[in-house]
Parts: sequence; structure tokens; C-alpha cells
Amino acid sequence: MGTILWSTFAVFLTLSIFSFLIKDNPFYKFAEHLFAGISVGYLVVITFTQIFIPRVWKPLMNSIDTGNILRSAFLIIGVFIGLLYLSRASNKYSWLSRYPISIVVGFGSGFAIAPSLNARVLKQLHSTVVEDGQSLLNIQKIIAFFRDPSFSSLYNATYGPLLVIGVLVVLIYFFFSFKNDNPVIKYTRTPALLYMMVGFGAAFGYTFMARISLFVDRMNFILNRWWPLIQNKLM
Amino acid sequence: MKRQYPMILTFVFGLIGFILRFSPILNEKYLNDLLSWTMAIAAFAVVIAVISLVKHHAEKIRRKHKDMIYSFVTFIGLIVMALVGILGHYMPGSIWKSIFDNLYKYVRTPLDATMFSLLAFYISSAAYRAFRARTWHATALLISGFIVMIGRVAFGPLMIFADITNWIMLIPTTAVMRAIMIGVGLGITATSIKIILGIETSYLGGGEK
Repeated sequence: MGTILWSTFAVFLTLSIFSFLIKDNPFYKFAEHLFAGISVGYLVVITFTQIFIPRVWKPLMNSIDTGNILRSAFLIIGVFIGLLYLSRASNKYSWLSRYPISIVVGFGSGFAIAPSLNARVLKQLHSTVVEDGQSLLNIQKIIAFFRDPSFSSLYNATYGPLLVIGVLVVLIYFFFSFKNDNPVIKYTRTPALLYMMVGFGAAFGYTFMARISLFVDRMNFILNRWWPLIQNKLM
Repeated sequence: MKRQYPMILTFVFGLIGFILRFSPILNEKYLNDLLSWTMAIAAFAVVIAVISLVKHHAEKIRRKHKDMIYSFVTFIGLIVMALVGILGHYMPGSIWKSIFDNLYKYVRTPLDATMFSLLAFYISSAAYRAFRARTWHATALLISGFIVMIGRVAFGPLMIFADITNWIMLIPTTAVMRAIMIGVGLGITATSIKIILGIETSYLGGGEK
């Protein structure tokens, strides 16, 4: 019985959200406000159970038990600094919240420099030059295409050059977006735009289909999971 | 004191974070503790989320706004989810845990999925408006988007779209995303350095010196 009630409530919420497609209405507002409350409540639970307890409370209790005063003090200071976030509630003392923010932002910034450069710049540049130990601009693949023309060899021959050219022209487009008469910058604009439009179109199509999958999943829930439950109960 | 000390703290902790990445000895010894410590501090930021939500809805109730009944719904959702979740954490086999799981499975998940699926309808109408602009940019976007949409669910003779989709995803999309990624990486690095050196201070907000 419990499953039927919960499932029926889920169906009610699903339809309430979809009712917004007709127009804004009380059912949608109810579901929307419930979503906000439930999501923040869930965030509180996750933060409490996954971060506060295992990373602060338990280590603090352990260090108190083992008499490690330095570590206990370190954790207590952390909690105290974290509690300064509460000063946001006061207009007069809200500046105190800058202390925890500055520590988190500062540490995060310093900590992010090396991995960000490595993963987002160096590795991407490396993959644009070499893939699977082979140069992307491999003349042998182009020769192979002329020796044995086929779709497969055409794909192999053009894959690397098209990728390298794409990365270069889009980078040039981004970094020299101001008006410029330099021929390299001028004549790479159109190919860069073509690459970007095709790429963004693909990203759009991909995102759209992901959203449609969610829609199909909701319909599947209503028609293939909830409705049979109701039918079984009624018969 | 209100801006200078936080900026000094940013500089010090920024340097610590930076050095920890390059020193295997320090990294091994202090990284976990420092990460836990900063994560513990960052966790309290949830308090800001709760305060903002409570402030906004309390104000609506105080002003007797016509939609104030929904603010009560938000409060009930917040309190019930938080309480039940915490009680369920301490009593794993209890009814609280089961209610929490059901709230997640039958309330949060459907709401989340439906909200996002609703976007499909709105991005279609946005796309329609974008595609009405008859430029070659919009045409390229439309053709590429259409091919990928068909390619994702291709079958039988339409499988050609799946092959073209693969090509689009592997070459033009990878090239564009890679270039964007490189730009983002350089941007993150530059912003991080600016934050550590105190050139970028917007994270401290406005207000008194």
C-alpha cells in the first residue's frame, strides 16, 4: 500500500510540473516550492552526514580521545571559522563571513592552478598533437587514402588534420576576437564559426535528447510502473 | 580588518594550496588534513543557502503575500527532509530511514527529472526562434543539431545518421570543446593567480573597507 501511495504522489508531482506547459497554476507552484524545500533539506542532510560527521566530528572526537591537543585545536578552529558564515544573517557583522570565504577561495584557487593547467591545457594540447602514440598530422594516412580510396581511409586521413585545424582556428577566434586585419585572423573566422556552429548544434542536439530521455523515463514511470500497480490493486 | 585580513588569508592559503601540489612530502603529510579542514569550513556555506531560503520565504509570509501558502510548503519540505534524513542517518533500520529513502525516490527524483525534462520543451521553442534567423550560422547549427538528434535514436536505414553523428561528435565537436577547454584552463589559472595576489576581490563582496 505504501508503494502505491508514494508512487501516486510521484505521479501527481510529475503531472503538476508538466501542467506548467499549459500555464502557471497552483499545482505547479506547489510542486516547485516543495522541490526547493526538499532539495535544500537534502543538501543539509548530505552536508551533515557526508562532510560534517566524517570529516569534522569523528576526527575531533578521535583526537580528543587520543589526547592529540594540536589536532583538536586545529579542527575546533576550523569549526569556529565555518560558523562565521552565520554572520551573514546579520547586517552589522556580515563582513565576518569574509574570513571563511577567503580561506576556502584562497586554498581552492592555489590548489586548482596546477591540475587545471595540466588537465585543461597541457593534456588537451598534447591530445591535439599526439593520439595513441601517433602524430595527428600523419602523412602516411593521407598517402594510404590515395593508394586505396575508401570511406574508411578518407576518415583516417582527414581525422587528424580536421581536428588540429579545428582546435587552432577556434583558439584563434577566441583569443583574437577584436577587429583585426591580420590575414590569419581574418580568414580563419569563417571556418572557426563553422566549426563552432556544428559543435554547438551537436551539443544542443545531445542536450535535447538527454532531456527527452528524462521525459520518456517519466512517461515510462507513469505508464509502465505506476499504472500496472493501480490496475493490480483495482482488480 | 574587514577586507585586508581576509585578503591576507586568501594569499596565505592560496600559497599553501599551490605549494602542496608541488611538494610530495608536504602533500603526503598535510594534504588530507587541510582538505578536510577547508571542506569542513566550506560545508558551513550550506548555512547560507538555508538562511537565504528561510529569509526569502519568511519575508513573503510576513508581508502576507498572495502566494505565502507555498512558502509554508517549502518550509515543510525543508524541515521534514532535513529532520527525517538526520534521524534516518542515526537509526539506519528505522522508519525514518525508510521515509527518507522514499522522499528521495518518490519526491526529489521525480521532481528533479521532471523539471529537467520540462526544459526539452522550452529549448525546442528557443531553438525554433534561433533557427528562424536565416543566416548560414543558424543553418549549420540546425543541420548539426537535427543530425545528432536523429543519430541518437537511429535504426534501420537511418543508421547513416548515427555514423554522421559519430563523425560530428569526434571531429568538429571535439575540436570546439577542446579549444573552449584550453581557454577555460587558462582562464581558471589567470583568475586563481589574480585572486591569490589580491587583484580579483569580487568574492569578498562589496561594502566597508
